[in-house]
Amino acid sequence: MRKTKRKWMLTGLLLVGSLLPAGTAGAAGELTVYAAQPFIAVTPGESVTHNVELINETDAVQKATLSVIGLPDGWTYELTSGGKNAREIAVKPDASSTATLDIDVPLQVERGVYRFTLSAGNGNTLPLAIEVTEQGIYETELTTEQPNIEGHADASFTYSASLRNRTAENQMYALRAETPGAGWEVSFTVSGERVSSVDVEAGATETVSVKVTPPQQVEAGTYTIPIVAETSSTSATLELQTAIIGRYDIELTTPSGLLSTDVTAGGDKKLELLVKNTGSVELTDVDLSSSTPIDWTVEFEPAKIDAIPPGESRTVVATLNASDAALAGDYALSIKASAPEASSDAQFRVSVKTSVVWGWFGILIIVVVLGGLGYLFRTYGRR
Amino acid sequence: MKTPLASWPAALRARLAAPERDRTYHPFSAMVRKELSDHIRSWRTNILLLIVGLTCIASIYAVLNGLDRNAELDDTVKQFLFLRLFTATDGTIPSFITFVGFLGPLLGIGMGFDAIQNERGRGTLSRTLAQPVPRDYIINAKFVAALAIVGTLFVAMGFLVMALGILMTGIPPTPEQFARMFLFLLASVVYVAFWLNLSILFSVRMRSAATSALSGLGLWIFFVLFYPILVNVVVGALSPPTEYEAATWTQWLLRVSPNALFQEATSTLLVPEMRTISGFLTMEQAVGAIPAPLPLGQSLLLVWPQMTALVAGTLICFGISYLGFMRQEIRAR
Repeated sequence: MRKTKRKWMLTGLLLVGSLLPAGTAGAAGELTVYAAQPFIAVTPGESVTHNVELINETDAVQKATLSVIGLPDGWTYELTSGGKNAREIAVKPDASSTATLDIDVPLQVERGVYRFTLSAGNGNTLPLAIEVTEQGIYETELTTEQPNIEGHADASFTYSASLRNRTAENQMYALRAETPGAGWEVSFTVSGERVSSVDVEAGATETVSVKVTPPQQVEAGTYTIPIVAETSSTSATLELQTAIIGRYDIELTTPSGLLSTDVTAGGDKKLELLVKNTGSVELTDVDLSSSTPIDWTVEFEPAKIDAIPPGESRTVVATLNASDAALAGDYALSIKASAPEASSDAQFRVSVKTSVVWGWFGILIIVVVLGGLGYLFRTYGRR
Repeated sequence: MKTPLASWPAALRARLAAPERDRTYHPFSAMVRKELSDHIRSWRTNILLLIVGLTCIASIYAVLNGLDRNAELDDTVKQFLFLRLFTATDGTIPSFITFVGFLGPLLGIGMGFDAIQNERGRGTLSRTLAQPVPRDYIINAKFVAALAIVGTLFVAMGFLVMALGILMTGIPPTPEQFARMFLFLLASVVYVAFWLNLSILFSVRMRSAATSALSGLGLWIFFVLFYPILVNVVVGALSPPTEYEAATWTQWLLRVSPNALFQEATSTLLVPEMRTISGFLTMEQAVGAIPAPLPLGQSLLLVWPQMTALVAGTLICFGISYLGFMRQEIRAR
């Protein structure tokens, strides 16, 4: 509404002006400088673009010398018109002309509102303002949303870090990590590629994925891994935390790894077993049990192992007794070592052999019969 | 017998160097040769051999035909394909072992039922005994000669089957399969020898050859046809408490029959997967059992009682007929 009113007023003025002699054309207030957004809020390091319109309400060509007054120290600006650098702009009667004012807000700047004026000469001015919404810095930020990951020793830990270049120049950051001990491996990945350095444009952010692989035999605990992204002028550090939780694992096998044996039906067989703690935490109260065919027994010596430290193993002797009724051939026998936290099965293949006693008995029968025949031969033969 | 091993080649060379007419045989060896040639020239033996041979070849042919049709064979069958030649059947003709079990006794009886009566009837017995030969040479020679014929027949048939099997399937037998086949043939020879001795026993005891033949055949038909029926009737009448016990009783009763002993022994030898002769597993035995073929030694141990019984039966029959023959009065007519 106000605008319309003003326009009518302008038109009226123009009408009046057109009646006035041409000599007054150069007087102040001949050009109206107009910007759609005179107040812009930005963050440090950004650049602001004002589109400025110069309106000539007189009936003569107006020439304006553009300049920016009152810009804080360290701020730079550029005035262009039609893509070209422009210092002076001419405006036809009853027409308008546009110019672009680009202002680069420096990175190191206080928070607050900065006011300045665009002057088009002859007292034609336009007050402009830029609000810097946050404290400006000249440094690099290395952040992550999830600095702490927990897992087992055999897992690998992948963190996602954001590397933000808050300097005015492109930076080539060298990436490195300090490992908590030997055997640790830390690798950096940017857009799917393993890298050791990353190029970040001024003001831009790059996502760096950090993969941490602990050594297999690492002890449980929390490890801190500092990650550093640095250039000659700036650097940023991020502390990642890897929490290794203990892994319970047990393995049941034999010293030779052979899981087959043979036994005579009704007979005994001693089996040497090896119970290994393949986890990273001590196992306690390891019980041995078996699942056998019916009427078979397995006794363990010792029947219970009090404790096995990680990485160590204990030997157990199992005495296997096969049933009398067992048939010749193969049977499956399962032996289990179980701690409260983990257990392991070993499947044995037991070949049952028939006792040869009855075989000898059969041979004895035949020998007796042959003896009888021999007696007959001797008694009656060759007469 | 007591010749040291070292002198064998020399003795052999001397024997081979001697011209045919100069070669003198030990009286026993001469008698065995005579018996052998008698058998080979007799129509009766040749017809028996032909019947046994042809039926066995027919059953093999049926098996091979069946194998061609049943391309879908499981692994254990493929693994023991060679042994399957003896045990499998395509349903039209009984298997090889069934034929041997059925016709083997006939062969034995046919070769032995008139062993003594024949000699006695023709009057050659007293004439032979007039020669300076021990009397037991006669009965021994008859047994050895018949056994030699049977042995040769079975070994020949076994190798023929093996050759046919290799030709048709292209799979050679493993040493273990070969050993199993050979043991099966040996068991068959022992089985036939049992019936041979039984019929020689009848020929010694009976006055007439017809009676002795009928006694032998009657016993054969009894064991092959009527005995299983009889056992079923007896077990049915006794009505055992459980099905399992009924089967066990039947089996124990059946084991009186040499035919059953032979079937059990040979089928276990030829089917390595068979872990028990009884054919059924108790619950206690079945739990945890892995279906896997037995090694040869274990199969042999399994059939050892059957084999012992067959061998002992053969020897006992021979002993009785030997004793009977030696005590007999032989007069010239």
